[in-house]
Amino acid sequence: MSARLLAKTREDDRLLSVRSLYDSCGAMLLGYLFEVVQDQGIAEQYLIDIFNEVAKTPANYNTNGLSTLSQLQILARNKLAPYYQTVKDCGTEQHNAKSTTAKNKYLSQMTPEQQHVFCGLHYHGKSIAALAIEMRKPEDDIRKILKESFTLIRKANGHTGLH
Amino acid sequence: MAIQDYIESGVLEAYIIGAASADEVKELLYLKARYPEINLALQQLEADMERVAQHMAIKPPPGTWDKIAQEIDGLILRQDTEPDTFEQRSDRNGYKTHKTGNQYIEVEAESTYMRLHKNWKWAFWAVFALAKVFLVCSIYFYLENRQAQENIKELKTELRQLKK
Repeated sequence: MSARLLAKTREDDRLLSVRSLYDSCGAMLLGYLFEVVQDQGIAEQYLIDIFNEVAKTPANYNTNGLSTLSQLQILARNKLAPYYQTVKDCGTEQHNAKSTTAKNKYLSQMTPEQQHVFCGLHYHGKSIAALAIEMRKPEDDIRKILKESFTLIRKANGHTGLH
Repeated sequence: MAIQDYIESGVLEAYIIGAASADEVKELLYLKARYPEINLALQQLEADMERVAQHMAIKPPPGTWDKIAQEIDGLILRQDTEPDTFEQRSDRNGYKTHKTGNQYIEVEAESTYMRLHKNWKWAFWAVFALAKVFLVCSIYFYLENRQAQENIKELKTELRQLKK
């Protein structure tokens, strides 16, 4: 096989692997992006940017222990970093008016405090240290609240969990 | 440290959500390799997050993939053409020969490419050469005209003097 044909085959494989990721995670990632930016067009543009980024380093998305979706969400958080400052916190009226958070069966079961921690970390890219200062609580308490949020998510699915 | 306490601390949740510090990640990856319970707990948390993501999923509009594929094609094309087009090598006499590569010159325009056949190169050269000829001609005729105007002016002055 010539070098050019081999390179072409590799590029075709790359396109197929990105397509496979898009098919399996595209809708979930777009849902996440929309929840952050609250605009379908902007969310779609971020989705395109993220998959173009994935195309540059497709091999990394199967090797470092985290699931593909988790890695894509981390990549999305990096891309969204400049956007986070403009996003309203979960629980505010301006956020709830446009957001689907209130309709989410998992998040709606959380207390406002749990929702604030979960959304702050997951959708608004805040750090645990920042949330601890904001809520005037120790960082360990923030982690505990986050853990409680996950327990509620699991209960909503009818699982009690092993830990 | 008891593993169960570690699992209960909420560090795993922070890791899954991308909020763990570098030191916490390092420690967690070490413990994960050592204790299967931690690995299992992480898998369950990832499954939880996936359920939330599935619940919030929005089907991308038709055409989104085409936009992504177009960008990736552009990326692949750039990577594919650069080494072949600009590669140089020296022959036995020390003269550098250029590998011909593709038969197209790529002209970048915004985010896409316009492809031109290399034959257009000669048309561009012809236009350039003609432009040079016209420039030289126009300078020549301008100087000629200025000389003629000066001659006419001198003749008119002489005529006036003769009439007096």
